[in-house]
Amino acid sequence: MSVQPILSVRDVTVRFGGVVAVKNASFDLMPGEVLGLIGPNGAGKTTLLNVVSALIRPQEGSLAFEGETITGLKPHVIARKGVARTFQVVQPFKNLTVMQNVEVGAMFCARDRGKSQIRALAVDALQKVGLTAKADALPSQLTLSERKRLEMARALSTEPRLLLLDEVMAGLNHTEIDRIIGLIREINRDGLSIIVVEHVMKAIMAVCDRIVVLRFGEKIADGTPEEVTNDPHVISAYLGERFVRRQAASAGAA
Amino acid sequence: MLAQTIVNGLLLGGVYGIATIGFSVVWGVMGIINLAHGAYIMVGAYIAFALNQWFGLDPFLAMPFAMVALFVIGYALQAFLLNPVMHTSLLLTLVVTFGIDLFLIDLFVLFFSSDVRAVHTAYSGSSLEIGPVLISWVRLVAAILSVLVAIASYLFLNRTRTGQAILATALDREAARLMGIYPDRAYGLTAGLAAAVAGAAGCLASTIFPISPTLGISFLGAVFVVTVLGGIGSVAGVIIAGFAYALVQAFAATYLGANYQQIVAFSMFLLILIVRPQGLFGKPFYGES
Amino acid sequence: MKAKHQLAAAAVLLVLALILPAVIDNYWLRVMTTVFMIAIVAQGLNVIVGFAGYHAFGNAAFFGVGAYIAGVSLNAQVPLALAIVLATGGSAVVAGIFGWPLLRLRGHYFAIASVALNMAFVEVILNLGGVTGGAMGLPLPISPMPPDLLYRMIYYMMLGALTVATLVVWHLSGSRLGYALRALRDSESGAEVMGVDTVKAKILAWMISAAMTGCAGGIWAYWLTFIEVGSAFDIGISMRAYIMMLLGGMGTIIGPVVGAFVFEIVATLVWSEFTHIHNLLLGMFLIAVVILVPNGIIHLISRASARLSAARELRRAKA
Repeated sequence: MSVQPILSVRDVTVRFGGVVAVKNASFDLMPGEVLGLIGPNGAGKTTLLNVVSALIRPQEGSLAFEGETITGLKPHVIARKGVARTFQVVQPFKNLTVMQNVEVGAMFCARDRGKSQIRALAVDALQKVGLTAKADALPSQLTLSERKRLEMARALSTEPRLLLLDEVMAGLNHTEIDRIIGLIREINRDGLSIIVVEHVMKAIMAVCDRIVVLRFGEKIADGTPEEVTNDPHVISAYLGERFVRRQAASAGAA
Repeated sequence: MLAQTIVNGLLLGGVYGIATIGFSVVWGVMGIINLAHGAYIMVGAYIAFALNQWFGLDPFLAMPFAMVALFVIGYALQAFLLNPVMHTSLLLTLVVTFGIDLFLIDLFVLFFSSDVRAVHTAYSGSSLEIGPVLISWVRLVAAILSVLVAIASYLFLNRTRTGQAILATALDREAARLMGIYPDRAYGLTAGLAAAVAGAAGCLASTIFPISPTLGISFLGAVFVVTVLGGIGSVAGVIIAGFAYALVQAFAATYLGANYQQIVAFSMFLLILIVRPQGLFGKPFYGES
Repeated sequence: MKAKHQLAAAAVLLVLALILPAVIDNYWLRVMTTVFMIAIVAQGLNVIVGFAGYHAFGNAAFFGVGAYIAGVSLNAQVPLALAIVLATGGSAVVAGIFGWPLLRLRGHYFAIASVALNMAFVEVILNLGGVTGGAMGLPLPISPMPPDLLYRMIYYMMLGALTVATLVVWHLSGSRLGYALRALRDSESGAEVMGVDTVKAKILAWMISAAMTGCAGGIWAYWLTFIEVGSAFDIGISMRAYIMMLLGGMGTIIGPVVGAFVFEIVATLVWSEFTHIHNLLLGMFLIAVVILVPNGIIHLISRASARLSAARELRRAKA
């Protein structure tokens, strides 16, 4: 293959004390791709995102972003290289306005920008996620859906080439979820590669080109949404062994 | 000399341990660093001193009185001053407890003057002699009593319903509320019991150290080191750490000179904070963020 | 209160402070010099606590370090201006060195470690002896200037240092570093993944904080002409400054200055009446401030003025 992956994760292992959170995980992300990272609770999805954004240092394994090894770099260095993320539990700067929250990303990631350019980037990011009207509000005055979008705007203001989204749809209603699906597609059209960690399967199926399934820290499947949803390993991981046996039995009976 | 140094350390270890239990549990359960903890110890010591002066009561027998008095003080301060502040900012509780410390110290200067006092008993000067090693009776009794109080505290927290409620509140305030435990009441109890144990430590300290209103300040340094060493909130850890601290201090005093005791203590403290903030024996169970 | 308004208020205060020595006696001159001194320490705390959220209760360490650097330098015939610069810079360097390991600690842990650092300095100086004077204390050269002139000069030195410190805080509030600090105060990992070098920002903040505090300590040493560890590293200095910062409003520009003024004037009026129980009153005052005005005077004023302007709008709408 001539195209180089934008992100490649090789044999990453993370242990917390005696617990193995991620075990020998490897996958590649191609430029412009949207990759879904799914698995039951505690499968190590968020841990893997934390490894990519360098909040956690893996005990083993290596990472490369755009062909360059990034293992062991500090989080802010990774961010400045073009990897942005959101947090599952939103972490707004609660004493800064929405606009100021977004400006932080533009201020520290976009090199050599003047005040007006920083503002322009922030305005642009807020407009993308539809928070322009709330620019002067404090995060505490936002709804959950708005806070999730603020989280995305903050990530976008860093002008990333790779975006990691950690459960940006959890707790939202259908309309809000559809809005974020549309947003992800739009961002992706602009050329961003995206990793989505999500429990909302409808959203995963709608936006992902490829899906990686984790279970107890191990990768158990990697393929297109169709391939993955038809994989018996995945079905058993999600729905339990019993469901698979029953399926097999009814198939045999038919 | 080696044997005597070890014995000196062991005899004081228990007192450092129970001087620290309350401080450590309050920090562990509520996230409050109670800078007035040293003043509680001082109040306990003065209760022993006063009862001894006025009624000729043995300072060891003053323990129950001091514990009851300090339970009331600790509970009331928590309920009226600290609980409301905790809801707005945990770090501001430091300022409040510092204020309480200043208040109590000055109050005792007002009543007892800043003169240094001592509690004397008939058996104060006598010692047990085992080979070359001298064991002061007072220190031996204090050591035994402190270990008993420590065991009682441990059993209370881990074996009684109230103790379990306190620990549950520490782990998850919301979940505890759902289980029918009122955090504010649990906090009041925690603070009261912590102060009571500090009062007991004060009575024991009155038999060993000279007493003055600033007695607590010199204790507070040791209390910090022992807390961090033992792992915040862990009673068992505190007891072991109390002995470890007293031994290190005894060795520093014997082999380096009394001047170096403080330096050794601070170095231990900073080193542990940086290298192993969860303590040598435990892990913090209060989630700070 | 907006930064603009705060700056205007600061300018008015500065003009008043400049002409004040012409009208007050020596007692009040000394009180005001103390107000400026402790206000500088409060501004120093404002940078590390108010902006960065790291509660450096032990910041008195840098007051002492500044005092001793100035003392030792002056005894070595270094000119006064240079001695103060050394005290300022030296304190910043010390903060840089210890900030690297200590600022990894969060919340209470950092607060306590900073206090331990302060106490460790006391022990170091006591055992160092030599040029520091050790336990005996350190006498400084006495100025040949006539006292009236000397004390007025020290007044203006403190005022100058406070003005610079306040300007630094004002500049900080709009700068990249200011943004970085306020971001990491609210969420350290949130700031990191948005490209903020939090380690560098925190250390810089503590260095700025220490520089201010050390400068105040340096001038104080020159003023007192005799220093010893007990008063130079008095934890009460950081505690008082902390309360002033809270009282005025942390994270604001002139809050710490207003807080210092109010606190010190109240304290001076009360002290003189009740010297024997002043800690008792101070303790009660601390508790009252935390319970009654936890967000500070500046926020009270903004809230009051917001309410006033809302009322005015309402009246205008009716008319």
